[in-house]
Amino acid sequence: MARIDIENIRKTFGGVVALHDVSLAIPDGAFVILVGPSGCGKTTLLRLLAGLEAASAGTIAIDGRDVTALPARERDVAMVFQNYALYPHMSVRRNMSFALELKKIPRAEIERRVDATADILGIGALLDRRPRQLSGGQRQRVALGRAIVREPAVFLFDEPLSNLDAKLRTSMRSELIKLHKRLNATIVYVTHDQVEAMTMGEIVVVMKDGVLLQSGAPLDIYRDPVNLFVAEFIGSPAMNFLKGNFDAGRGEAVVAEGRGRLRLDPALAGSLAEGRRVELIFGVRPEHLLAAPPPSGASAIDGLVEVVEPLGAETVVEMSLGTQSLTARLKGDLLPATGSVLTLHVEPKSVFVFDPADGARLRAV
Amino acid sequence: MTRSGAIPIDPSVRRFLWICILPVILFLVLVSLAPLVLALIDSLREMSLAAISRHGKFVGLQNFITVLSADSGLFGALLKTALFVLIVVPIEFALGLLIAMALNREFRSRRLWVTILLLPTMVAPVVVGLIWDFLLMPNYGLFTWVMNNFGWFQGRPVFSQPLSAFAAIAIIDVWEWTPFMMLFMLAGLLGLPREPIEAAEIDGASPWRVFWHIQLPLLRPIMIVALMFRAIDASKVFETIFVLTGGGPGTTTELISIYAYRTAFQNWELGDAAAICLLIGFFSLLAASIFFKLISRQPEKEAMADV
Repeated sequence: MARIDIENIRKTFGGVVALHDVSLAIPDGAFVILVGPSGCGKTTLLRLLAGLEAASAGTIAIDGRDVTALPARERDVAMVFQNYALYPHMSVRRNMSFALELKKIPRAEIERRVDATADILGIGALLDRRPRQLSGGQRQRVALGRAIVREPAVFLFDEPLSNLDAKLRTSMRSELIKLHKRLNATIVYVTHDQVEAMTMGEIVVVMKDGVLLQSGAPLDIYRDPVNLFVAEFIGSPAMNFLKGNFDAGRGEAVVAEGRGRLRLDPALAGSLAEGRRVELIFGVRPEHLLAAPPPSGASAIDGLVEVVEPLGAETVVEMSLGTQSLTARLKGDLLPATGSVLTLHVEPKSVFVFDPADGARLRAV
Repeated sequence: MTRSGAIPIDPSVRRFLWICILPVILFLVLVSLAPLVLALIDSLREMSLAAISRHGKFVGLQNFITVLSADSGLFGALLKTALFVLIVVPIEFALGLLIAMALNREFRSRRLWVTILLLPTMVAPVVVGLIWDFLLMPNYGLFTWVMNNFGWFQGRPVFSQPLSAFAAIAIIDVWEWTPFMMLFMLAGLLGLPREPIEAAEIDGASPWRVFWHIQLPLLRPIMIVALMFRAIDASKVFETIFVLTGGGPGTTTELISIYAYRTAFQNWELGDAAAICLLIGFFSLLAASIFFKLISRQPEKEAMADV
């Protein structure tokens, strides 16, 4: 258990900047998810925390102790690797006890801790096997056990579930959440999977191109993304983006060559009018598209139904609006015919507005 | 990699495959199988040039009896060869591993260093012999001069004393072949998966412990191959010794291949030489199988399959 303070961390590889002055404060016991597309610097940040890479500038402190210059072995962190990184020549038991042996912990104590951890993870029967005699899921558990048994200050996870099949991934996800509750440990978890980010994280950190874009509670990020990239990355299916013009006089947006009219929140419309903004990008989440008009406004989008995916509980509809497209999540009892024209509606407060130049979110001032 | 029985092969393809394989088969028959058969035949005949009248006569196992008799010198040569191998190979291995570890880091001039260090191994063994012959020449050799300045080997050349001659041969072999071990070990170290090493660092292992507990066990398979390779090669050492001492003084540096050479081309006992060569093959096989037995008895043998 520990808090982590990352201040202005910069990392360059040769001439390439992998991390641009990243700062982040992680409270004690938090489950933090670093998420972003590949190459965004999330794994580099994790390796810096582990001590496997040296920072080019900035400081990292664990529980107030500056560890920036300390080697990995003196940081009291444990890491679970994407490929598990088990010691192939050692038994499962030895894999788990190795770190404790290095710490010169008494034999009996090691035995006790390894057995207890193996019990938690349900790998007690595998202790005498070698890694290559285990399935992917079992190896994953051993890697987890090797970290847990150490009782470290911080757990680091590098895409630990990405090599598991979908079903196992889902069950491991809930197990990790339970494990976090039980251990009450600080966890930093890297993933490119926004579903993992949303479901597991207490704090989600969205990164892109070595820059920390936004950090906060998953739902806060979902409800209030700072820019177009975050809005698109968090949420599944992804947010729809429609190009259009803002009509200051009527306080609404005309999108997709007139196929849709979106009424905006009055406060937002006011600041857009004040800023004389015309050409903009309007974002609507698929789940905010409604089949019946809401009482609050006269927004309407007409689209040609291209694909209908009935999932039972809901129906995912893909529509085309001229050159643009739109995905909607409708109630399961709605089954529009392919090729028909469907009119959908949006609440004014559900419309996000972005600057087409840099993707920045435009808000009511 | 399927067995030929698994997939039916078109006859024209089969013919083509035979044409492809044929040169290799021919080559092997000419340089390997035929000499072996000839040696086998010669080992059973009287081939001494000193006995013209009985030349070529079938004598059964007489040559083997002669060679295996206590006074023939075969066992002395075998013993010296074993001693030589047991001295030089471990030293070459340890030094090679040490240098490889030093080079197993990212630094700018690494390639240059590897190339420079590899030079002794790249030079032909005969040339190695000649280089050291010049360096250790009794009166004019550079090393002789240096050593004489320290008061060593004054008036008694290195190769004139049994102990110093054998030591010199061993040191030269170490000089020549340590780079080979270094290359093998460096390739092995560079080929190790990075994650277990990083995992060990995070688990709290110092560099020395990472090496001892992780890298060394993972290197096992390649270490065995390298040791095997060098042991076989060292037991066949010929050119350098031939150039430097020719087996002398006396028979001090008369390792098995020199002994076979002397029997064949100085004493012209060609039948005895053929018998010696077959016996060398037999003893090599014996040594190799003992070596394998020792390795496969190790408890950690399963680790080999993982890497």
